Amino acid sequence: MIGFFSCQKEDDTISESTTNNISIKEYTFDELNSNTTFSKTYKKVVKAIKKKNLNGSRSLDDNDFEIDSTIIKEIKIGNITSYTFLAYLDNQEPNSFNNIVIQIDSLENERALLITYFPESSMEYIVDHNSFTFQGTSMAEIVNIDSTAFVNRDMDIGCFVTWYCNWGGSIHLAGDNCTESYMFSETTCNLGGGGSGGGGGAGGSGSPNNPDPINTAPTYTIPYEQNLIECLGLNSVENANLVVSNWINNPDNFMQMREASIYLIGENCIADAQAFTIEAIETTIEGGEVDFENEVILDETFKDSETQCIHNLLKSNSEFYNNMLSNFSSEDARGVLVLKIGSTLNGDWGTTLGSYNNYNEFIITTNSNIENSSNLKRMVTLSHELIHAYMFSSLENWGLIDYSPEGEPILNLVCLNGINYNDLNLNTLDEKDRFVALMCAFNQNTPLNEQWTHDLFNIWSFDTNTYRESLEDLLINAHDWNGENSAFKNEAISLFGTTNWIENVAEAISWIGLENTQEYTNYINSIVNPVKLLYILNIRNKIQSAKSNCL
Amino acid sequence: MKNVLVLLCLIISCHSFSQEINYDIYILLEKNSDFEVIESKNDTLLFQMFILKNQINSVDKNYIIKKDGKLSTNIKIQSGNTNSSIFLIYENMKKQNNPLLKELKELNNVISYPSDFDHADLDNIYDLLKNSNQIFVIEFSDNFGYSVVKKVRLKQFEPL
Repeated sequence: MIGFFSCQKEDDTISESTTNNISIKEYTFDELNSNTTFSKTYKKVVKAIKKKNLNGSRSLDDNDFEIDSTIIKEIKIGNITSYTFLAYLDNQEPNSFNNIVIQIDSLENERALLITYFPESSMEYIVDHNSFTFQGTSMAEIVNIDSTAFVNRDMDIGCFVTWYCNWGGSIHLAGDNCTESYMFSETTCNLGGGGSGGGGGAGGSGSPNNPDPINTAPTYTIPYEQNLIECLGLNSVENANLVVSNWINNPDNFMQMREASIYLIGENCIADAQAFTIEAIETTIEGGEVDFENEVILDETFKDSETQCIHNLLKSNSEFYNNMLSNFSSEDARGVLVLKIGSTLNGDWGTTLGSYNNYNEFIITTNSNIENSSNLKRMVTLSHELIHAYMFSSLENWGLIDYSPEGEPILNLVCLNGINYNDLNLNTLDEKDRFVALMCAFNQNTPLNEQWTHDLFNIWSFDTNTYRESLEDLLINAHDWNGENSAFKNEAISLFGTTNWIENVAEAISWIGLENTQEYTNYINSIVNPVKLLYILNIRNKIQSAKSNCL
Repeated sequence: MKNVLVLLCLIISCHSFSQEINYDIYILLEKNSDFEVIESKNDTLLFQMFILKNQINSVDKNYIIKKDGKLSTNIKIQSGNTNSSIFLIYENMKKQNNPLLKELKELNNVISYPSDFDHADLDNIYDLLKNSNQIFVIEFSDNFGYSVVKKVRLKQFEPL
């Protein structure tokens, strides 16, 4: 027996701030398997662990395990190299995860540890570094790779150095995205347990009695595949879906698969979330993209398009746009939003349809011609259609609309007779009743017609603005007006002046699509100057010549 | 009824032969009808936009008594993105498109608004106007049988 140590970090660790020309790289198992030194040692370690060749108190009946082949961290300090990988033990300790660390020096001396980590708080995922925070304790067991190789060694072999990264404000497990200046280490030694031991520092020179500590950058991942398959019931005969299962198990899809798994865990694996995930995976297989946070599916026709570029820009720059998007993942009006590019009925710039069946899906299709048009045209089309989708979602949730088999909404409104809806104090009403009152007021003033979905643009949105006004603000704030081409800019400036041209043009654009409403008539009726009026009436053609390159 | 039949024949014949036949259309705006006019002018330009509304009511309306005994109206309307108005623009820049004075009985292809629009498909009328050679609006006038006629253009708003 060589040694065993079980350490509480806070008791037995020494923080180091210096690094030692350390290099951390991440590989998949397939990539490392061609490395003969690693491969040879790995096989020995597997054999040793399976034969329970561990020095420690662990009493194992069955020591079988699997490793996560997607990420293995290689640490090089001088001519010492270590490999850390995640192991799933059959007899896993509760609330823990395991790493196996193999270290090989220049003389090809091999040492290995099985480290069990016990997180004491939730491990936060650091997206940019594809890593996790860790706070907790650990227990290390020495793997007797080859007992003869260790037989003459002193008991004092038991220090290991854990490498962390403090980039970005959250201390997390170091990986290959972390530059050396952000790395620091903690040394843990065999101060407790059965073996003797002493303190040690990171990267010290080795000697027979005081060998180099084993370096590790812990590797962690959630059993994403397993969670996903179990939640979707893909392991049952009746739900078997070979295409989806193959996709989940393909390591090339790891990042997307993990995103789907995290989403489902967050949604407690409810039926709606399962349906969305299946659709999301199928979309990804077909070449599309998925925004799990907002439950938005970007069809393969939409992915990497100029229209998607505008969508991304609006997500970054418009609170109004984001508020509407986030609605589709909210608990009280959840649904799936699908964004597509294709042909539209009557050559519409864009259309929004709901679902005749119970599946709460909204499909926005922007016309293929929009893809080759200006940024402003794409921006107003996408935002206009998202307002429709948002409204349909809310109205459906309130039970105020049904859908035709084609997905077109049918308003189903009840207005009290003998009430003047124009005199009602809307501030005393909740959102649903306010909407009903406004629509009944519209109907009293001018009977509603098939353009009611556009009349809705003139009711309040999230604040005291109407949706149309919010769209105007979106255009003012999200579009790069100063970067517009000079012909477009100069014409607008000459007509509306240097201080107001952006607001005037944005207002005119925000009315596009609403021309059949009474409010549009009121708007153009307020334009006194006939030249400005002609410009505004011709705004669709004007924006045709605006800047078209999104990036 | 006779007017409706005349309009239908006009629409059918013009639509059928619109590719081959040049024709003009006159729209007579009847007195006290519900069309709207947007007007704006300066020293050199007179701009008018005539808005003619769809006369077909697409609302499905039912009266119901609610649980509290109050009379209410249940309104059901399918959404649609077809034309619900026809926009005709009159522009007179530097007096180059002055109104004409014409005797009503001499004019052919006259559609009256709103009476001829009753029960007529607005998209059909829209196509009729779109394929015509020239469109004129007749502002009602009974001065010795003469009317003020303005040459206008159809304003098209693509659906969104």
